[in-house]
Amino acid sequence: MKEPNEVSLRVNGTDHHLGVPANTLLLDVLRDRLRHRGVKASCQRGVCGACTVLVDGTPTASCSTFAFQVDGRSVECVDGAADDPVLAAAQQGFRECAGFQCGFCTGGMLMLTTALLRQAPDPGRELIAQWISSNICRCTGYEMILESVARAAEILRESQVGEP
Amino acid sequence: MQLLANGAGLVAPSQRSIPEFRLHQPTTLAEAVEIAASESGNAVFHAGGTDLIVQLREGLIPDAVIALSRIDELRTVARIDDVLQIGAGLTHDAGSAHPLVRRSVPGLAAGWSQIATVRIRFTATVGGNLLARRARYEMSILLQSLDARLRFHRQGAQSTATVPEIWARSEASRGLLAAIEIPDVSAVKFDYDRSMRPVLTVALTLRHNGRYSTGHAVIGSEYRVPQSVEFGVDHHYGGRLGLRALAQQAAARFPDDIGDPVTSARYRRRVAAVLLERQLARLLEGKPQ
Repeated sequence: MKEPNEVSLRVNGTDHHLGVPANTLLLDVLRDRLRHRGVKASCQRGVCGACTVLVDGTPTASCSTFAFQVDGRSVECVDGAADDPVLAAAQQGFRECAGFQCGFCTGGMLMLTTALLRQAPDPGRELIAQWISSNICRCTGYEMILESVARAAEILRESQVGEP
Repeated sequence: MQLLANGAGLVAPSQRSIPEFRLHQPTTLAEAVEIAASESGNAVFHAGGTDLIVQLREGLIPDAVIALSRIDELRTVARIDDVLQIGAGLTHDAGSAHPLVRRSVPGLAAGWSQIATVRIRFTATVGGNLLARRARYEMSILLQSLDARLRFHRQGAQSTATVPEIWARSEASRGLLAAIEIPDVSAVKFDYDRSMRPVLTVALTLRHNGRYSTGHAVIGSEYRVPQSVEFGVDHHYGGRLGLRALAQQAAARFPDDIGDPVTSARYRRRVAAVLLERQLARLLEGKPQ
């Protein structure tokens, strides 16, 4: 086995220092080393997006990202950051609008939604569709997912009304 | 057996595990080139890595990976002597939004901003898109139309290549792709129409030269190497009917190679003629898309 590389990363607000072989994927670090099983392994080649996480706020396929690429960076995945208002709004939106069936793509969709709403808090349908088309859903036909994202944006706006 | 011995076990018939490799993470272009020279032949470069991962899953087994993400020189944009130089390490998102790209060739910025998906655009690079040599990747189409030169760095030398030369693989390993150079940008108008993807997409560049322009149209599709035709455009072209005739004449010259089992060459030429007419109208008459 090749010598391990030292990788330091922050996952959902917690710092980790790991020694991993160079060919270790971020997906494997998250699932196997750090037990973040909400991140799903699917196509393993960056196409489907079920493994989407946010690296420094940017949606990224963790199956196609080596651990060395996130050295010194921040990673957010779906089973963390319970107090993040944007992720919380996304989760509630998907719940209210039934934006899932089997649920396998949902983690990735939620992280895409979180990144979108941080960048564009009031996205129109076209922008939502553009972002959501990054990831594949085999179950829903996407309509409920699009509605869920729109609802999440509404929830976020409602939560901000009345703030000083 | 060789795959298993190298740690790249077969996970599924079309999906191999990621093999072990030596990792290098240079911080300068010169350092990267030196490492590549020292790694006697079986090293690969890693920029965004979106296509490299696919290659590894398809069975590529490099001895070493040279990661380029720490090299700032690969992500610069400059305009020098009317040549737009775009760093090969720029992501699609960053490159298409760069103010200098938008000012210099607005049609390139617009077309570049549409390719791939939002998620991939944040990671994949223009250099990786070109060097992957996959027909369905689109930057070859845009940049071939713009007569782009690709600048490579090897130890002690630089060289350039055109996009068709990359597809033809007419030279042995050229080294590290550092930048894409688009010449004569002040004379260029550019349009990219991907409304008929995956049947075909069309990139059209007009280079002005007084009363005339040189048109360079390139079409690409899901399965075929990009093909181009060049033609002259007299600015007294005779209105919309003149543009139609020009577009049809240009499209008729695309070779039969543009056909595939999915779509015939004849159909692609017909669609190309329609799109080219619209593009010529947009570029010559300022008509909206």
